[in-house]
Amino acid sequence: MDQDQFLKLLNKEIQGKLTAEEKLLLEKLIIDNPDNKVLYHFIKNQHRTQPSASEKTEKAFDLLWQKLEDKVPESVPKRASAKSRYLLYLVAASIMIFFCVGMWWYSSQQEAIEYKISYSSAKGEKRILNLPDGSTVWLNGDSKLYLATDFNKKERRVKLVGEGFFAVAKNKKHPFIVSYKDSEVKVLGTKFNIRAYQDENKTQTSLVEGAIELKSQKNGETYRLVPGDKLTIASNGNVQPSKDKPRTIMVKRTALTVQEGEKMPSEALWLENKLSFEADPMNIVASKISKWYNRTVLIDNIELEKTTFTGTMENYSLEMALKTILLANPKLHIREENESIILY
Amino acid sequence: MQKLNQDPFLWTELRYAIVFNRDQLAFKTLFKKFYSDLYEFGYAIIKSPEPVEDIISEIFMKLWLLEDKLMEIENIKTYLFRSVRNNAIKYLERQHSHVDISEIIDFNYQYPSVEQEYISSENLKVIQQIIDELPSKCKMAFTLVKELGCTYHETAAIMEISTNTVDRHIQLALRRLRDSITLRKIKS
Repeated sequence: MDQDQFLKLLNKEIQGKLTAEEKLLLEKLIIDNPDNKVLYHFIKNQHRTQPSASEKTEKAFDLLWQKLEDKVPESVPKRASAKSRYLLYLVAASIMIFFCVGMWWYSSQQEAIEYKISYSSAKGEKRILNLPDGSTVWLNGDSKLYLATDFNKKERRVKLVGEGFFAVAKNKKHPFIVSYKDSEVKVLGTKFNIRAYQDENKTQTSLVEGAIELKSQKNGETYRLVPGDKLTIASNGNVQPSKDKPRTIMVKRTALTVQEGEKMPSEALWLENKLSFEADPMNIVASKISKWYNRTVLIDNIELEKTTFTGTMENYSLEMALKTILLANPKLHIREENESIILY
Repeated sequence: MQKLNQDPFLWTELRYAIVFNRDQLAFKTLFKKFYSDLYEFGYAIIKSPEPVEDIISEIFMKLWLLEDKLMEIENIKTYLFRSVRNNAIKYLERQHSHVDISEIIDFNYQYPSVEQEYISSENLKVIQQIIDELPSKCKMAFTLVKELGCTYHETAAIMEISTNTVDRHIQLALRRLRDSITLRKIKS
């Protein structure tokens, strides 16, 4: 009996699942029985490799790197000797100076990027766009996508107003860059969703697959996203920044969540024609509904920005959608005024 | 318990440096972190140094050439160990085409130093013998958990079995060890 209990506790101990009470019991069983003690100490002490193995590791790595260099010379940066490394620093420094000057020149020129072709979707409408480079973009309602005039020449630059889901074709030579509001993402070939409506006070960038680099012009920071990441940048964007009221920006990194019974994260469910909310404050809820059903929905109580709603709706009428949200929030009221729906 | 704890944040940073900057140093950091444990694990299966070295080298070469597909690997530790395990078994299958592989996998770890403070060398010999006599899959699960500090969850991912099965393997190993320690001590 005691032995069964000891083995059960030891198994739990290995998994780090012992409660304080069980720990005491285990200790007692070890003290009481020397055979238990032998097994316990054996399990608790791991055999580790000696640090002397590190020389072997170094050698193994050099060998591996050599093989990679032989196989694909262009994919492996060449290593430099100490002397040429010094030279390299000099060159690097001068390149940095050129680069900085160039960046300044570039940023002063940046306004000059011309966008020629544009696609747009009406409120309540969704569109699938096949871009000339093989990428596909789904546009949600009330959104616009612009293609740069020289799209696919050097880079593939597009501009988004609204919400779009991007499945970008892989092409290392021509990076795919999306600008929206005050941000820009650079892409290697991935799937991601951007929500950046002019009338919402935040942008949400959600990465489903691959990798993206996001640059915010608001704070100059670069963020790297891994699959399942969602970056929300919020600001009191409508207020002009002034000395006593500086513009505040908030950056939040969260994990994408897949609601029960769904296959995709909430941020991408609109692709399946589902209207999904993921802890959205009421101002975003109103904005989403108004874009989905093409009706003006307004908020008449600033406090509601603290009330959130989570859920997914498929084939709901506007009335059903509003009813569901009202049911979830007993404090929420609704009225109609000149064709507009007002939440308060 | 000293563990091969995989810091998920470190992996996030490393894979970004590898994917975006083709950073050799980041790649080397990754290599150094896992090499000796992967080597020991592979050696326990194949018991010959060169093929193990080749297997590990091939796995890391493939990793470097994956480029941005690398972003899809969530848990690098289980990915690496699983690759070593699968490639080692494939290697043995090629070597002994008509032999049942599960009979060959045979961990032969030495248990020096630390344990001896608490456990007599006779007991250690008994333990080694019992471990050698464990069914091969049970032995692999036990080695991953005890020697390589894998969680049950990681062990399950590496061996491509369920966590419950890992738990059963560990239970069996512990019971046999416990029973034999008492039994053989009495005999001798």
